[in-house]
Amino acid sequence: MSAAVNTAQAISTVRPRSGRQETLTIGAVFLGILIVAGVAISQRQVANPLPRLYDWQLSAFYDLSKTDQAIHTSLVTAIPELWLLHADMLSLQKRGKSKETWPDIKQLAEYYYVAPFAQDLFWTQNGSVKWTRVTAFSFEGSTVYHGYAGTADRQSAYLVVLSHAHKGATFNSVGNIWMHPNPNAPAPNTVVRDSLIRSGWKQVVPYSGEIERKRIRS
Amino acid sequence: MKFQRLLAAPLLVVLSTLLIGAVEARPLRVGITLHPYYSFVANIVGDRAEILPLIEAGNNPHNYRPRAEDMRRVMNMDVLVVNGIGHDEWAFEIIQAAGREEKLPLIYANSGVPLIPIAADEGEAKVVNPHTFVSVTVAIQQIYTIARELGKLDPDNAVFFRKNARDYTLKLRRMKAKFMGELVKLNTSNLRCATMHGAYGYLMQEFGLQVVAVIEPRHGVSPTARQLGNTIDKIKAANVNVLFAEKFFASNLADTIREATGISMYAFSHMSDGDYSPELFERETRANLETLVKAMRVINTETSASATES
Repeated sequence: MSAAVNTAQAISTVRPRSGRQETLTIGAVFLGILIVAGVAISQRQVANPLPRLYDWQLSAFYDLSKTDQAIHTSLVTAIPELWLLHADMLSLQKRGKSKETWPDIKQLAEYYYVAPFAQDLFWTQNGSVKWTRVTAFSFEGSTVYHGYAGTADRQSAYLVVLSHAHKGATFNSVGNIWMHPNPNAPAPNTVVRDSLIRSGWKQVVPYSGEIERKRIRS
Repeated sequence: MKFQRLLAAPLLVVLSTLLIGAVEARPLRVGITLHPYYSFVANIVGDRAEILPLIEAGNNPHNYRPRAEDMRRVMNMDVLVVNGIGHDEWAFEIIQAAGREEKLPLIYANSGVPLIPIAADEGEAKVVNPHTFVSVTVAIQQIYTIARELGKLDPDNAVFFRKNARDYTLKLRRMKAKFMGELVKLNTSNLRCATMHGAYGYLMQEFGLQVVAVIEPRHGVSPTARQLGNTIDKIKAANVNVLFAEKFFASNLADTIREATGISMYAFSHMSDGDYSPELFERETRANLETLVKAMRVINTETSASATES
């Protein structure tokens, strides 16, 4: 009997190790790594150089059909040309040699060969768009060239709005391009932004070399 | 002694003025990275600036590795005209190695250029096409940008630069109009073209021609056998009838495609060969447009023949 008691007294309960301590330690280390990595990644993130577009804007790079993209490229190049011709014509007007201050479509197409106004292969391949210079906006200080009736697939109507905010900086290229999904959309009565938007026009935002440069170097 | 001191001060002033005048009178040293930029700058500045190519002629700008002598050249420049959108990344390595990052003004010729994607397939990821210099329309945009920025650095010659830029761009536009006049007479409705390299997107765009496929999967990278097989399938599926490759292009790849598909092949200039010269851009553009007209004439004849048969 006494032997049994002694045996009972000698037994001590040994609990298996749960590994709880190690689990907690490893968990803490993982958490630490995650926090450090998260902070490091957030610090290394590059600001997206792409312009944030509103729903009334289109990206020339991502959103346009090939025809619209081609016309947009040619219009962007035409804008500085239009300003230079405007400066020449203002100078001629001061000397009494010109009544107009902006080139008309015939001049652009037949003398200066400016795309997309010139009726060449580019013109026929890109829907033979009809162009007019709209002068009714002179009270708003803008000159507008309107392109419509294009026949290519997924073709838009076009507006080039040249703002007179350029005063004193004639060798400048300030101009906005707008497109309308209906290729026969008429010229608007005003070029006030909200009114254009209400009429279904969308401003086209180019993906310029400047944006790409920032993306590469950031 | 007092007299000498009195004389020394005005003498120093006169000498300094002369020295400053001499430095100011020195023409602007304009660096360029690619052949077409040499032509653009030469036609803008005339004899009123010096043009310094950053790398020697005869190097391939696609895989150029900077050399020690490039650093010496960049040290002598007052300004550098760059593509800046992926075609002359080595220029930035040279500038950094020469320690001129903060000191050398750069003219980004493409800053105002609306870029288009390189991929011909609308379903593929859109990658920026940096070959804005293989085109008349987009070159004009760059010429104006370069002229404007050079005018800011050299205001005395700004009007001169601007006038030269306008004369040069009108000359280019007239050249393009001449070829447009020839092309517009031809029926090119059956044209389905592919290009070997992504360099010709802007050129084709300005003539209203759309590229169905680009063979190189990435800029300057030859396709793998599998990619080549896919491309051949794509050419067949899209019914491509003309392939524009590059002058001096390794012809084995082109031959494989021609044998597998039976399409006609023509070669365009990438404008990065030969010596730097003011005439290079016009000369190479004219050659490209002659090639385009030649290809279109063949298409026109085939179209007329098939119309007669039917």
